[in-house]
Parts: sequence; structure tokens; C-alpha cells
Amino acid sequence: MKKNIIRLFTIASALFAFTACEDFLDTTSFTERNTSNFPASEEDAMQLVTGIYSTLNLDLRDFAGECYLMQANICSDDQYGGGGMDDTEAQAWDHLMYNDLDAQGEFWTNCYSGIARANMAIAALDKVEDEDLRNQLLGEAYILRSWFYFELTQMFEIIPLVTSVPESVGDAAEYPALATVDEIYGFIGASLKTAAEIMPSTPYGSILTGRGHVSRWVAEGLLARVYLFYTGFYGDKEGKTLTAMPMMDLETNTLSSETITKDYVIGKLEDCIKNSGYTLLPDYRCLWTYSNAATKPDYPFMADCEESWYPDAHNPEQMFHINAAKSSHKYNYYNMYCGLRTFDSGDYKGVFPMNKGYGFATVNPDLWNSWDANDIRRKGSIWNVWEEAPDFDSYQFGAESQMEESGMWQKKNQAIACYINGKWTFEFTSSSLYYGADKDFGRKKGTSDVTLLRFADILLMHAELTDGKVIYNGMDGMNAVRNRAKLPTVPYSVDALRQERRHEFAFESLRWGDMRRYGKAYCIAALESQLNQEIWNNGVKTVMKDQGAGYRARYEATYGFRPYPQTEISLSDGVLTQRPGWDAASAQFTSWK
Amino acid sequence: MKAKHLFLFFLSGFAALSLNAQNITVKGTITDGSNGDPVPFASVVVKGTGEWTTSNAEGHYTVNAPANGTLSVESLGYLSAEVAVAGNTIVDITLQPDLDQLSEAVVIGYGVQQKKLLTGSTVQVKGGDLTKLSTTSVLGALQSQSPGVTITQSSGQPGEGFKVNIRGMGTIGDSDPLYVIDGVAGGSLSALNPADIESIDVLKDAASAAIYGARAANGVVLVTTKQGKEGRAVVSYDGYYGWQFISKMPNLCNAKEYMDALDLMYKNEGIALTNWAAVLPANLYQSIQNGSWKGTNWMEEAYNKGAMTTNHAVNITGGTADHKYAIGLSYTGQDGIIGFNKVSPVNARFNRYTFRVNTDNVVIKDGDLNVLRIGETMNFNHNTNSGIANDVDIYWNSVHNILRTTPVLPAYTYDEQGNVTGFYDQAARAAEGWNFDTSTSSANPLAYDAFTSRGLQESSSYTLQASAFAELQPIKNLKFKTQFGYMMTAGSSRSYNMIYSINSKVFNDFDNVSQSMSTNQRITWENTVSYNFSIADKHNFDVVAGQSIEKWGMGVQMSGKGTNSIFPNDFERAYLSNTKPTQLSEISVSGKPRSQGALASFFGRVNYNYDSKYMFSATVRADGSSNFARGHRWGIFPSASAGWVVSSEPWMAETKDWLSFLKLRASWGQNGNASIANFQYLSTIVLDDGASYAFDSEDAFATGAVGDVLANPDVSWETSQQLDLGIDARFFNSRLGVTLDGYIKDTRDWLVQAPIASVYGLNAPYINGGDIRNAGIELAVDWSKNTGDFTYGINVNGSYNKNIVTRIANAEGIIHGAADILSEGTLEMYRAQVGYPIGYFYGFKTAGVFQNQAQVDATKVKYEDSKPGDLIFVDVDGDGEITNDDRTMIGDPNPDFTAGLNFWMAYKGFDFSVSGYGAFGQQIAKSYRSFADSQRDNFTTDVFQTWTGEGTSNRLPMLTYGSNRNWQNISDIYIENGDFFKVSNVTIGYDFRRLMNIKNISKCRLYFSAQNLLTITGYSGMDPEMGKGTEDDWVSGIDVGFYPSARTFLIGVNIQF
Repeated sequence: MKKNIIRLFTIASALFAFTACEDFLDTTSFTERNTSNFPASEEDAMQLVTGIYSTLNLDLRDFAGECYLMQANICSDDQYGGGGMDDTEAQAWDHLMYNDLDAQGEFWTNCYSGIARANMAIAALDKVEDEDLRNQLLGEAYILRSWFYFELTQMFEIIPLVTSVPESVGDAAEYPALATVDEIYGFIGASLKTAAEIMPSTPYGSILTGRGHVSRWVAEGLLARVYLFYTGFYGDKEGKTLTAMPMMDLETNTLSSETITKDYVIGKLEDCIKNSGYTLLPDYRCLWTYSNAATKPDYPFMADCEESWYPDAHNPEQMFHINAAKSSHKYNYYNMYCGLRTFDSGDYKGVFPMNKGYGFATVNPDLWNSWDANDIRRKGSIWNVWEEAPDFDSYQFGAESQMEESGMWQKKNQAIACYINGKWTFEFTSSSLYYGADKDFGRKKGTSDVTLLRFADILLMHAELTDGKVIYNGMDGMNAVRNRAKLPTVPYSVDALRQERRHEFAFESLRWGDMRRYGKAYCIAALESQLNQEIWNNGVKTVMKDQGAGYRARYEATYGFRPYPQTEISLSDGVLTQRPGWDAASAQFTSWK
Repeated sequence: MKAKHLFLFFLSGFAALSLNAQNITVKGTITDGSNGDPVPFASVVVKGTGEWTTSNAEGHYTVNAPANGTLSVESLGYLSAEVAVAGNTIVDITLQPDLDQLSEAVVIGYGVQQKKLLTGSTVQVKGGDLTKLSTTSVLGALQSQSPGVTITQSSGQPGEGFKVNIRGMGTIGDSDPLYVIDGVAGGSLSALNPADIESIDVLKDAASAAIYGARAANGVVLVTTKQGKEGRAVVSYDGYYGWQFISKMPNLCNAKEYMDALDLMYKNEGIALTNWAAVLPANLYQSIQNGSWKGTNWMEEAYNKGAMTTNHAVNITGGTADHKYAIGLSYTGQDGIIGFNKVSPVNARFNRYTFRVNTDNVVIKDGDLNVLRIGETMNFNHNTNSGIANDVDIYWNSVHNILRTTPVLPAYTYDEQGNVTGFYDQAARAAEGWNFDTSTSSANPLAYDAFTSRGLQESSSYTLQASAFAELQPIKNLKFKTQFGYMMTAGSSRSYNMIYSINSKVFNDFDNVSQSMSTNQRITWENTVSYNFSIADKHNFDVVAGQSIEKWGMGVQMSGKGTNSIFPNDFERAYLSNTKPTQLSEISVSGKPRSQGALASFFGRVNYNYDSKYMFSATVRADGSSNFARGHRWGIFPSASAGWVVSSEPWMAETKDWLSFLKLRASWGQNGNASIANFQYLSTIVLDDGASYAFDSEDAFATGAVGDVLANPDVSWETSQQLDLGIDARFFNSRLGVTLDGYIKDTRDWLVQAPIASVYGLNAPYINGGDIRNAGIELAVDWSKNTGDFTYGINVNGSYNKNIVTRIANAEGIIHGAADILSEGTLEMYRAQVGYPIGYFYGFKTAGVFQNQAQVDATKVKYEDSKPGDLIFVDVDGDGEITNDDRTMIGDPNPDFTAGLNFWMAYKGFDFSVSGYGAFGQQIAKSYRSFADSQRDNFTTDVFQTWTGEGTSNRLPMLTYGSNRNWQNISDIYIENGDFFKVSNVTIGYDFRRLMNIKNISKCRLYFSAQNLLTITGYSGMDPEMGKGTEDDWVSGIDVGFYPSARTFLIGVNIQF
């Protein structure tokens, strides 16, 4: 008996020791939360939505040289690759080739991380009790998720559709299957449609969640953009006329019998034009940072302009933008990539208000040459050394081995310099006019935003879909935009519309999608306009030449899509196989020849 | 026991000190039992009193001792002896030579064991053997002495650590062994001075380490700090002062050579050559042309020739049989050999102060039985450290900048008298018309270190490692021990970026100050019970069981950054309080707790031997780690080992005259590793800066929340399983010893963050996702003669290890390394991949250089546009095209074979020793210039071995811009063999005590030592010994400017009273 008691006691104390150990071994993180206790409140759910937006910043920072915005500009006919001799990636893009099959791996990963963040937020937003607020936030998550999918599908075409967040690494063991084109566009379309229908109809300036958030109007505009790309590109590719975009049932994730029709899209654009409160700015130049109040007085081009730059999020034409704020996580490196490579003199006063950078995305002279000189948007978009360098010798061709240099640079995404008290200063945002203190944050630290959708696009898309129906200030959308550019009214035609879009949105990453949706023939002709233009490689004058198989063959082989990231193919266990046109060694660009 | 009794016992303990029977004078002669020669300088201690003496050169001694006292006699090379006085006034003593090192006790986990009874594979190194080498760090001294333990310097910069791998790299995660200092796990060796060490025991095989189960997967290093000894108080002082030099200067181009090389490059590219006369100031150009100025050799300029290194250590040990103490105090100071300039000293200096007190007291005694012992160990350490940027990359690496900077740039400006007035910076360039280049290739690297946090930084740390124990022994050999360990570390650092303009691209208009502080604490508490007993005198058991808990991470970290100092460009005053930021964005602060963790363990061991002939040992340990979820926390790590002393068998008696000892042993066991970030078992959400977003540039950031790591609720222990077979043998009266070990170590279920498909949009958690095998052979041979006037010894050890990754649990079976390593714009160049050694170099194989067009035409598989002078890349995958898929293994940074060698001899007070070590079979990837993006970086003179026409070179292609694939493709042209042997220490000393007849001085040795005297290697870089990886710890052998180890000459003394 006594023995038994002792034994029982021993077992009991051993058990106690182990149980006590379990408590002893429990730890708590005081800096992170986890899915077992988050989101718990309405505020938590809103923070999940903010988290989706933060994905956008990486486009401008970690891989500003590889994001869709940059790649679309460089692939288009408006811009070359540029950069230095070792920036072979950019030069490869321009020629629709590759240097590193993993170059866009980070971009791919980031889009999917934005999608996962949106999926997580959508699942959590039932925590928000106020119906209007919940619908606003839900709509924001839908819009952003659609944005990432649209960028992905324009770049890689066929991709997996991930619509929920796995709970543990075990659920992520299997690679999801590739979706079809119809499923992808059906998913994007249904998401944007839902957003356009559930989000509150509050106009610019009184968006429920505040300035800088996407809104019902953005959903309507993006829906039209996606619709135009889908119907145009796939209609041409498949040789048929497409008038409707498929739709997915978001509950079951299967294709629904409903579609998104042209009339529906037009109706949404008209809702936007009439009710959104967005307007065209009076002067085109005031959309761009070179018109800022600090730079303007010293910049002759701006002498006749009465207004100046509208700071980001306070611009009634800007509907959707990426905020590049004053934090090391959020700086705008995209501008940095687009700046001029460092002159040996180190002096940039001669190229005022342009600034230093990596020399990416130089301008195809054909754009300048074919553009009406009376159009203020020409000089409003392009900095041309022969026109703007006050002392031509202050410009150095071949600085730091600049490649594909044309003497022309885009002005829209540049870190613009200014003079503060007579001192040349890297960035106008350093001026007290903007952020309150006489401080220079140095280069690479651009704080101006990148606009993704503006009201002029709504007008032009409306004109395109309605063949020039009168809608805005007694004009059709195309002539409303021309009118703002101080150009005479012209009758609507498809060609006029296309030219209008090219000029209005030059360097805004829209041209590449437009070229492709106008059809293969149009796109190839446009690409070939780059050939035989005068350029300088490392300071040596030459002309632009086909590289590898040439623009035509490369477009025919790829339709403008990019290769899947090699690492992702390896990790996909056979689900992803490299896209057509990207297997051949001849698609590899190693250096200019 | 009541407190009153305890107090009485205390009193009686001290009373024993003062009790004295009547003293008599005892004289005698001490002789060698083997040949009858006198034994000089043996120490004679009268037990229980403070009396002691040493024998003179003729072996005579005289001492006062109680008539009923006992003399304890010790001398190096002899077994110690105890002799009763028994009322005699003449006591002659015979000492027996210590031929049998096997009776020595070695430290094992939770106990000690006689060496001859060991069944596992361990190495013991004595503190004396460490201090003999006069290194500043303990690990540096271990380098040549421990087969199977690869110790590689992380950097030659003072205060930098070592990479330690026991029997090969076993994981991609934390591959450091577990350090157990005075019984407390988790300590740090860098906090100790070599003079603090009594002994180091390295447990290499799994069975020996298994008692430490958790975290023992990478082996265990047991460190015992100096312990008190009964007898007189021994005071020793060890000190040295030395001068350090660069052992090999890099073969950088001088100004003329540089200009020629750049001209060659431009010529090959077909573009206009640099108009040197136009871009350089006229006088500079002239002096280069006429040879009066060779250009700046930046390495010479940054060289702190004769940088000092010094060490001073005082140790006091002593006590009575029941109360022993050891006290130590030391200072180490070392300056860096690189990081010098003539304008403002960049203080590359390491200082270390240590203080140590160990005591051991018997407080309750019952006859011979020590009923209760209590004791403590306490090590305190304070370091201060400053140096230059020292990462293994091309960015945060001052040495890389020193190597790459163009030699046509002057270092300083001078006044008319030729005195240095400042750095040759932007102002000087503008003033003199130096217009060659504005890239970082021409940013004065001395100024860069002097103006920025690359050199303007200092840190200090405070470490306290302490433990206290009580051991109760109610009956003989049954011991209950409880030990509490405490470790505290605190540190602070600060750095400063001045306002400067080095060139038009490298400048800073607004200064900034960074400061940080942190604290951390760790506690351990362990309770063990042990019992030794014998059955029928032959069956000997030694049983131990115990339990321990450990908790760490109690502490905080804070850091801050501020702009606009009110003392601009004054590093001495660069503190946050002196900054006056004008807006929020100019200041940042952070403060957070450290990540906590805990471990709970139960363990037990049985050692059994039959008549010291057949040994068997078994252990089991269960560990629970806080890093895993409930249900996955506990790991059980068993081991078993056996040994057979063949030479004790009666049928071996015939071989006794030549084979003194022969033991065969075998062991098998498992160890664990839980060293990962916490909370991998949860899907974490972060709400940090990166997740925030500013919707309106005028507003503050909105807090965002984003999913971080995908949960892995199943994550659990990494296990290493090892089989070891060994032979220990001693021959010829034990003069020759041989130890041979073979092992296979399989690390399973590595804790690895293997990439997952990114479409799920979350980061990969740690999974148990890989296996690796290390297999090898170790051999150690020693020979010594330890008695008489002339003694000497030699030991040689070598080990061979093969490392191969056998599983990685993702679809591609690869963990990728970083890109932009040798140069910006280059692809990934190392990997962990199934079927290959960990961290192998990945790139193109080449088959020489195309010599002429005919050869180009005749070569079927090539890049289409290949021309003479291009590299011939090999079509490894045989698909008829050269693509990135043709990349393959082009080198392995892991050595196949490592070796150590020690020789020592002593004759009548003179001593001489040589040590060396080497590693063989590994490769190094080297580039001192960032070739792909910085074409104006300086060259090494092998640039003139590039192809310049048919027959000129079949290895290096035509010199062109690096953006050309010949250079930009990482290929075997960057890989060299890294085999080396270093003569790490040569010391000659003399003990002057022989010449002095001062009783109180038992040692007075003066010595001269040369460290790193000679490196035998075919490697072209500065130093082939490179232990530091990139951001990935599992790769090494990348030389983009590795801070080399110094060649040191020093003079030192050892004095003992």
C-alpha cells in the first residue's frame, strides 16, 4: 500500500512536472500578432486593407526597375531600354528578350503577396459593422486585388487564381492549377463589377475612407480598362469580334452565364463622369511635378502657366495613385531609375530641371518627330536636349556608359530639381513649399507619387466605347481632352482616338496595353518605328537596330508576354511550363550588338 | 539541517585553517623513479598549511611542516605524490614519470571521467596549451589543436569571431556548436581570455554530446575556467606586447599600369581612349609619366604598420582542501592593421577586460565525506570595439573599397611644407582639376572611412556569466547537485555620418547620428543526482539523472537615429541628444523586447565498466523547446556507446613492451537543434513600417497589417544522428599515441526556410526540410618525451570530411544564394542543392579562350556571336546551346582535409615551439573589383594576363567592360584553389628562474613569438583563410576584399610567485 502511494505520488509529480513545463515553454510575441488573435476588431480589419496598399510601394522601391509600370513603358514604342552597359535587363525588354529569366520574380511575388493580403482582408471585413464602411473597404480590397491580377495577366497571361489564404504550410504544398484566360478576366471583371456596385457613391473629396483611397469611380474606370484590353487583345488574337467579357461567380469561383457587356461598361463610365466629382485640370502641365511652385520660377517652359502642380491626393484629376511618402520604405526609386546618368562634371544645372538617375527608358525620337509641335503636351512630356539644354555642351552623351540614348527624356516621372535660395537642390520636395523645412533628402528619395488612373482616361475610354458621344462640357471625351491641351476640335475617328491616347498618356505605362489591344499588325508596326532612329551607345553615335530575332519575330513569338520567373517554374512542380517564345537561347540578350 | 548547525560547520571549517601542530624542519631530495636523477623545481606543498617550497637544481628541498603533516609534491611530467612526514626530518621522495596520460580526468557532460574509460570521441585542450600560443582569442589558440573541429577566422579585424564547425557543416541554419561554460549552457567564448581557461573539452560524437540533447547537433564545447587548487596561493602574471603587419600585400596596379589597363580595355571595346592629360591635373599627369609618382597604393595608405597587440593577465589560485579559490583579471588590446589615415585616426581598436572569481567550499564535512559543497563561478567581461566596414560583400566593406579605388587619385592634399592638410576630396578635385571619374571607383576610401559610419562607429558590451551550485552528498558517492546559472549581456553602439563631399557622387549634406542599446538575460537551473558504485569490485557504475530549465531573451533593444548635430563633424560628440532634428522624418526611434525562448529538459546516463576493461554507456535526454507548438515540442535524444580496452586482456600481455594501451570504441546517438526564430508554428501578422501606407502625403502613415509567415504547426526538432568508430592506442611506454576515428553524421529534418510557391503570397516558414551527410576520418598522432633535462613532443592531426546535401523539401531541391556577390549585376553564385556540398559555387565552366576565328568556326556549341578572345563556355547540359542552364558546380568552399601540427621542446629552461594548421581541397571565389558595374575600379596586375592575341592567354578573356558576358557570367575564371598551410606560431622562451635564487618566484619566463609567420598557398589573394559567409552563414570562401589576418611579432613574460 505504502509502495503504491509512493508510486502514485511519483507519477503525479512527474505529470505535474511535464504540465508545468508546457506552461513554462509557452511564449508570447509582444511585437507581432497572429491569425489566432487577429483580426479581432473593426480597426484590425481596416489595418488589413491598409496593408494591401502597402504592396504598391514596392513597385516604386524594391524592383522599380522591373515592375509592370517600367516594363510596359520600355516595351512600348515610345521608349527604349536605356540604362548603363550593365543594365542589360532594360535593353533586353525593349527588344522583347530576356537577360535573366528571374528578373521579374520579385514583381510576380509582390503581386501575389498583394492578392493574399486582399484575400485575407476580404475574409475579415465582416468584422466591420457599419454597412457603408464595410462595402467601401470590401470594394477597395476587390479593386486592389483586380489591379494585381490585371498587371499579372498582362505580363504573364495565364496564371493561377488564388482566392483564399492557406491556413498552414501544409495547405500550400500543392501548386494551384493555371486558370484560363476567361477565368482570369471573369474573376477580375466580377470583382470590379461588385466593387462598382456596392461601394458608396461619394464624390471626390469626400470618399468615406479618406483621400488617396480607391473608390467606386476607380472600379468603374478600371473595369473599362480591363474590358477594352480583353475585347481588343483577345478579339484580335483569336480573330473574332468580342463585345462582352466573361464573368465569374465569386461565391463558387466558376464561370457564370452572365457577362459584362459594352453597355454596362459605358453606363459605369457615365456614372463616373457625371457623379464622381473628378474633373480635368485646367492646364495639362500642372499634372506633372516639373510645374511645382519651387521649380516653376526658374523654368522658362512654365513661364506662361498660371497655376502650379497639384500635390498628390489633392488633385481632382488623379483617381488612383501610388503614394511615395517620406519614409525609407516608401521612397520613389522609379523616378530615380528614369533620371539621367551621372555626368563627369557632376553638374546638373545645365539640364535643369532634370536630375540624376540610372538612365532607364529613354525616349524614341519618332514620338517627338511625329508629334504636332503646337501640342503643349509634346514639350510637356519630353525633355529634348536640343530644345531645353540652355548650353548644349552641359549635356554629356554617354555619361557612365549610357546606352540607347536619344537626347530625349520623359519628364513625367522624374525627380525634379529646383533652386532654393539660389542653391541648386536635388529635389523640389526638399523645398519648404512642400514639406515644411528647408531640407534636402538627397537623391533616390523622391517623394512624388505615380498616377495609375486619371480622369482624362475615363473620358477617352468613354469616347472610344461610344464612338465619340457628347458627354463632358458639351463635348465628346476625346475633344474634351484635346480642348484642355488647347488643340482644335476634330471629328471622332478610331485613328484620332488612338493618337490622342498616345499623346495624352505618353510614358504613363498605358501605351503598351493599348498597342497590343489595337492588334498584332498595329503593334508590330509601332514597335518597328523604333528602328533606325539615331541613338548613342556609351557616347558612340549609331542607330537603333533589331537585336536577336528582331521586334517582329519576337512579338509574333510572344504576343508581348514575359517569361515566367524561372524560380517559380522550379517551385511549381510542373504546373508552370515556360511560355511560348521564351525557351530559345535566341531570346537571351547578353549585350548590345 | 538547521541554520545554527550550518554556521557551526562554517566556523569549524575556518578553524581548521588556524590549527597547527608543532612544526619541524623537513629536508630531503626528490628523484626520478625511472633513472634516479634529481628532479629540480618540483613544488612541495605542506597540506593544510600555507607552507610550500620548490626543490633546487639538485632536487633538494627544505620546508617547515607539522610532525604529523603530509607533503604533496608535483612536477611537470611526473605523477604527483603525497608523502607523510611522520615525524621524520629527512624525507626523500621519488616521483614516477607520468607516462600514462590515460588516467587523467576529462570533462564530460554533467561529470568527469577517466580518459581511458571514455567511449566517445572527445578532444581535450589544456589552458596552458592555449596561453602558450599568445593569441587574443580562445578559439584562435584552438585552431591547430583539435582534429575534426574546423575553426576559421571570420576576419582579421580585431574582435571579430571565428566560424566553428565540428565534423563539417551540418545545417543551413545555425551551425555553431553549443558552448557550456562551467556547466552553464549557452555562454560565449569571446567573453573569455585564453588565460582564464583551465581546459576545453570538445565532444564530437553524438553519444558524448547526447546528454546535452537539444542544441548538441553541432557538437558541444565544454569550457572549464581556472579552478582553485589546494596549497599556497599561486600568483601568475602573463603578458605580452606585439606588433602586427600585413603578411601579403595585394598585387594592385600602380598608376601607370592602371592607365595602360584601362586604355587596353577601351581599345578592345573600340572606343576613344581616355585623354589622361586632359582629365588629370598637369603636374599629376607629368609625375605619372616621368615615373616620379607611382600613384596611390591605397592598401599601403590604409596600412597601420606595426599595429599593437597586447595582453595582460593576472591569475591567483589557492586555498585549502576545503576552500579553494581562483581569481583572474585580464586586459587585451589590439589595433587593426587596416583602417589608418594621416588626417584623423580611424580607431580600429578592440579592448577587452575580464574579471573572474571561482570558489569551491566544503561547508559540511563528516569525516572524509564532503557532505555539502557550495561554490560559484563568475566571469565578467567588458569589450569595446571599433573598426571599419567589414561585411563579405561589395557594399559594406572598406577593404573592398581600398582595393578597388583608382590609383591615379591622390590620397591627401599637402601644404607647401609637404604636411598633410586633408583628404583629396571633392574640393581638392575641383581645385586641381582632377576630372577623371566621379563614380565610387574614385571615392577616396580613407576619407570614406573617416567621414562615415563605415569607420566612425564604436560599440561596447558587458557580459556577466555566473553560476552557483550546492552539492549534497549524504552517503559516499551519492550526490545531489543544484546549479543556478545566470548570464547577462548588455551592449551599446553608436555611429556617425559627417557632412562631407568626397566626390560629386559620394557626399552627404546632412549629418546623422545612430545610437543603440540592448540588454539580455538568460537563466538556467539544473538539478542532478549522481551515484557511483561498484558491485563485487569489478562492476563499476556511474549513474546520473537530472532535470533542467532554461529561459532567455529577457531584455530590450532600443535604437535611435537623429539628424543635424549641434557639433557637426565631431564624432566624440555624436550623441542623439546633440542632434536637433527639425522635422519628424529626421529622427527615428525603436524599442522592443527581445524574443524570448525557453527549454525544459530531463536526462539520464549510465556508465558501466567491468574492471576498466569493458565499458558501456547509455544516455537519453528529453527536451522541450518553446520554438515549437504544443504537441511538437518534445524531442527525445538517445545514445549508446561501448568500449573495449583490448590491451587489458591477459592474452595481450606479450605486447605490453611495445603496445601500452589499446582501446576500441563505438558510439551511436542522436542530438537535436531547435535554433530557429520563434512563432513559426503560427501564421504571423506584422504591423510594421513596411505594412503602413500614407494615403495623403500630408498625413501620417496609416497603420497596416499584413500576413507574414505561413504557419507550420508541425515544425519540430532537427536531429543529427551520428555513428562513430574509434581506436585509441599508445605505444612504447605511452610515448607514442594514436587516435583514429571514423564517423558518419546525418543531419535530418534541418530547420530550413525553403522557398515556397510565391502564389500563396506569404513568406515561407521554417520547415523540417532537408538532410545533409558529413562523413569523415580523423587521425591524431602524438609523440613525447616528458622527463629529464631534454623534453620534447610533437603532435600531428588531420581530418578528412565529405559534405553532401541529401534532401531539400521543395519542388526544386535548391536553396538559392544571393546575387550581386562578386560584382553588382551578376547572378546567384552559390547554392545548397541536393547532391552537392553545401554552399557550392555555381557558375559556368570554361574551356579556355578562343584563340582565332578558325577555332571559333570549328566550335559547334557556343554563343552565336563568339569571336577570338572570348571565353569558350562549356555546354554542360549538352543541349547544343549555351544558356544559363549550363551553369554547374565550379567550386566548393568546404575543405576536404584539415590538419594541425604542434612541436615543442624544452632544455634546461629553454623552450621552443612551432604550431601550424592548414586546410586543403577547398576553393575560393575572388574578385577585388566590381567588374560588371564599375569599369574604372583598379585592377590587380594579372589584368596583363588577359588575352591580347593568339597564344597570349587561354584562361582570361580579352579585357572588356564587365557587362560583356565573358566577365559578367560567373565562371571558373574567378575560382582558385584555396589550399593553405599556415605556420601559426613560433615561440622561443627562457625561464630565468634557474638563474635566480628567489624562493618566491617559481617561474620567470621571457619569450619571443611570431604568429602567422608563413602561409604556404597557391592562392593569389591576401589570405586564403576565410570563415565568414555572406548574409548566408552556410557559404564561405568569397574574397571581395577580405580583411587579412596579421603577421604578429611579440615579446612576452610569464611570471609566477
